[in-house]
Amino acid sequence: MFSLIEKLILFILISLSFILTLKWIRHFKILIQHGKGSLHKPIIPLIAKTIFLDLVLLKPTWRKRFITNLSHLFIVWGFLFYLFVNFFDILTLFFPNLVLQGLIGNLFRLFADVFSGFILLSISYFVLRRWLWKSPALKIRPEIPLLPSAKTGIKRDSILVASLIFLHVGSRLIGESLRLVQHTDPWQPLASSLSIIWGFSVFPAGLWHLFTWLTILTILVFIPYFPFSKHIHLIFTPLNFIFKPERKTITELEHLDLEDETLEIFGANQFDQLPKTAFLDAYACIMCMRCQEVCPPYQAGSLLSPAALEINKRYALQEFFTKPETLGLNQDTLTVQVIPEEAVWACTACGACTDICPVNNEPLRDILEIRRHLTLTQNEFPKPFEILYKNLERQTNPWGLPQKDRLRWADGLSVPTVEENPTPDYLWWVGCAGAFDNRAQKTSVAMAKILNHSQVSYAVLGELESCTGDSARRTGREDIFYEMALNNLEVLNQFPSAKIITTCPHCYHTLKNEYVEFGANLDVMHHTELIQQFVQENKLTLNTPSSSPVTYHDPCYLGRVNQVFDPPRETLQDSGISLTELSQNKANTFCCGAGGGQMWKENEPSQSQVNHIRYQQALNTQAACLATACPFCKTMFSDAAASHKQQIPVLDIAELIVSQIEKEPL
Amino acid sequence: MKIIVCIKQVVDITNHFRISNGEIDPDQSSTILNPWDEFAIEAALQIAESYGGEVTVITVGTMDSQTGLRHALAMGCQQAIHVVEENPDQLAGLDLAKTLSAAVYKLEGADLILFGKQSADFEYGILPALFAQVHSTLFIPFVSAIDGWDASNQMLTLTHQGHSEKQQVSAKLPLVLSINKDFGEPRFPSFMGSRKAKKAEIPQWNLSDLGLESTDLIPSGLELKAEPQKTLTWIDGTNPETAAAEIKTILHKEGLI
Repeated sequence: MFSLIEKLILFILISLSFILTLKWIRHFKILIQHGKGSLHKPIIPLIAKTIFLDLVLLKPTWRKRFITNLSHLFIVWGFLFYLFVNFFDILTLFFPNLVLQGLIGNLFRLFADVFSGFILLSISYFVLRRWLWKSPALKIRPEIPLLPSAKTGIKRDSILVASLIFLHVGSRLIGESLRLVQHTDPWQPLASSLSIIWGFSVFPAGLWHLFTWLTILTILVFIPYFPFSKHIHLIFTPLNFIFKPERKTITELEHLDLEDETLEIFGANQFDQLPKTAFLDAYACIMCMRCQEVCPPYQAGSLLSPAALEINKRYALQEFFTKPETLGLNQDTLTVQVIPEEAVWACTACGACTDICPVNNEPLRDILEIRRHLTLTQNEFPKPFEILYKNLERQTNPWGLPQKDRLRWADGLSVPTVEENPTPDYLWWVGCAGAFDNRAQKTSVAMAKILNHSQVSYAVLGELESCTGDSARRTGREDIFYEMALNNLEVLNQFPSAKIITTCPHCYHTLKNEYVEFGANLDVMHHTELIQQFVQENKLTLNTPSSSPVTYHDPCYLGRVNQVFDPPRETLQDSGISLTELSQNKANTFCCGAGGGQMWKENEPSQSQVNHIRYQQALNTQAACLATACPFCKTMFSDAAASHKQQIPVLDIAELIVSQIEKEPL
Repeated sequence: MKIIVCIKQVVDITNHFRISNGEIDPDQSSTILNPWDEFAIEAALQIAESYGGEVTVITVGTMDSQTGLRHALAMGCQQAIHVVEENPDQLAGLDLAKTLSAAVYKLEGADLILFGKQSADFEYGILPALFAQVHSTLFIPFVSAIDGWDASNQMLTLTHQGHSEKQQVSAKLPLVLSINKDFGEPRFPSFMGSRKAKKAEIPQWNLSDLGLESTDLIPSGLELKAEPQKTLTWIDGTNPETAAAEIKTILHKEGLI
């Protein structure tokens, strides 16, 4: 047992560790205060949900990497239990008579023993994964800029954290086993087994002191060292859930007040222009690289890695950790320190990074904040966007075609306008693609036939319709988006009781989720949802099964962002079409490459192209047709198919269904 | 250097427009800043950036013209003047020149007065020369580059497109120049620039402010006629040989080959 001197030393060390930790907490506070806006006030249900689902069950981790997650789960549970273990261990050292008795004591010793084993096993797995079989999942391609401090920091952090865990847990286990050399404890099977191996006949007091001190010293060093290691994620992850409001969708953006004439800086290109939540993100990141693994531009070999963004943010912030007041003096822009402009413009805004992140980070939000800054404040953006913006301002559509031609696609069809049917049940938002793009017009024609066949009351807006402004917003031109949103809402508010339907997931998303910022509450439905409804209501009879299998690509803004996965699949199945799934489907879908304004510009330099990768995945399914439900996906895959040896048709769900109707005698 | 650019709002002929009663129907057409004038603004801004100076834009036109003036301000011009005239297309070229000249006098003259090469709707291209005549200033047409500036002698060296080839000339200020598109693509207005331009005060002058009477000006008597609608024939391109044969037949029939 500890002598009085030892107790005194221990008390001093605990106090020092505690004081230093308090100091670091204050530093974190000062650092985060540099961010814009305010953090969400923690609410009890969210805290409870976070503790149970995200912390104890680690729910967000399970979508990928089962074995790794299992090892991680053991470490987390072990650590949570070790909170009690360390507390009681230290308490017992000061007051040797305070020992947990009875069944509680037995269970306590059992769990401490078993979890020690699990932690040591799991941490061994992580060590082997990183240094022996050098998992490629942990690598960032060398051409992607990483701060020098990040390059050395990741290695140093990993070694230190693994060593400290080994030392702490290992020493405690050995210490316990030494206590048991004379009488083993059935509730501590691991320590008891070890105690036999040691072969001591008397209690080796000196060794026990050594290992007990090691156990305690490692934890006392570990706690104040936390802020300097990526391991701080175990504190910041729960905070990152608790201090963020629940977002309406993963692509929700910070509201920008364009009416505020005093604002001179928009978006962010310096740390103090980022929202506070972006600071939490940097410290919550554990560098697992899941975001990079699912990032289409990264997979295509561009300079974009959402992981590198968070890692660079973290190491850049860390330079200021010991003197957090001076962060404002950091004059380097984010595009110099954390993410090159080329990578900012390579992003397809597909949201895969934010969606997959197990610690609730939002790299997409940062990228779009930086885009806002580049376009609005610095007037620096890819040249082709000038044409996009000019077209949106002059002709209210990205194609720059005359507004008067909006209904030309419907020549020869009977498509009622709101002038002809002023009180429609369904207000069909055709979208600029549906109106002006050759391939998307075919979808519009198919949809018109489906609507006519179903004999529902519907109408289109014709010349009253204009672009929702999605492309302007995703490329940073918030002002154009804002103007378009206000104009569109003025039109849409004239039809308060109509359900809006659209064939474009980007229109769908913008109308449904992003106009809410301007007080809109629109009832929006994607055409695949409506078609499925028609099928269920027997408004469409589809009974000509097709033998060739079809694969379905989930458009990001329909699937991942708005969780509409089943209606297109059910429609295909109900119409007798056999569906073969792509390897990455539903929430794990892989962008077509058009999103985030990529449709309107050349690709950033990369080894391959996002649409070609996805098209190849579709070919790999052996399907005879690639179905999708977005005009932009259709364009991207049709382009990929055109330059590919093996060509399969790329069709919208509406086109597939209409071909089934047309086979029947009408 | 004090630079004035005379600009004009034109009918956007890339969009649908309608002619009724010999005039363009404003309700059935849209207007844009004359694209040639954007080149002139770009040239003016480049000259001001290279040799120092301020750029003012002037237009004669309806309230619609304010869009063009604000676009010029957003591009970086310092000042905009709007001479309000309800029917600028009905003014004879000479009268437009007189009006602009009076406006330039009211601004106490300028070292350089720039025009776009022509307007994109009527394409006369005569106004710069008329203006120079009325304003008694040397005119150099189709300027494609400024090559040098001798401040002490107030001499500007520039390249202009002659009848068939480019010529370099030196001339003393003040000068009237018409600008072609060799100065490079007009800059895209920044959001910050547009925001500032949106709030800018644009002085509005009418003819009496310029010491002119409306009776001084003679209507042009211009009457527009719409061309007969063109017809479009689709030729199926799946088989290039039959398509080519079909094109040949059509061209023969039209007497074009």
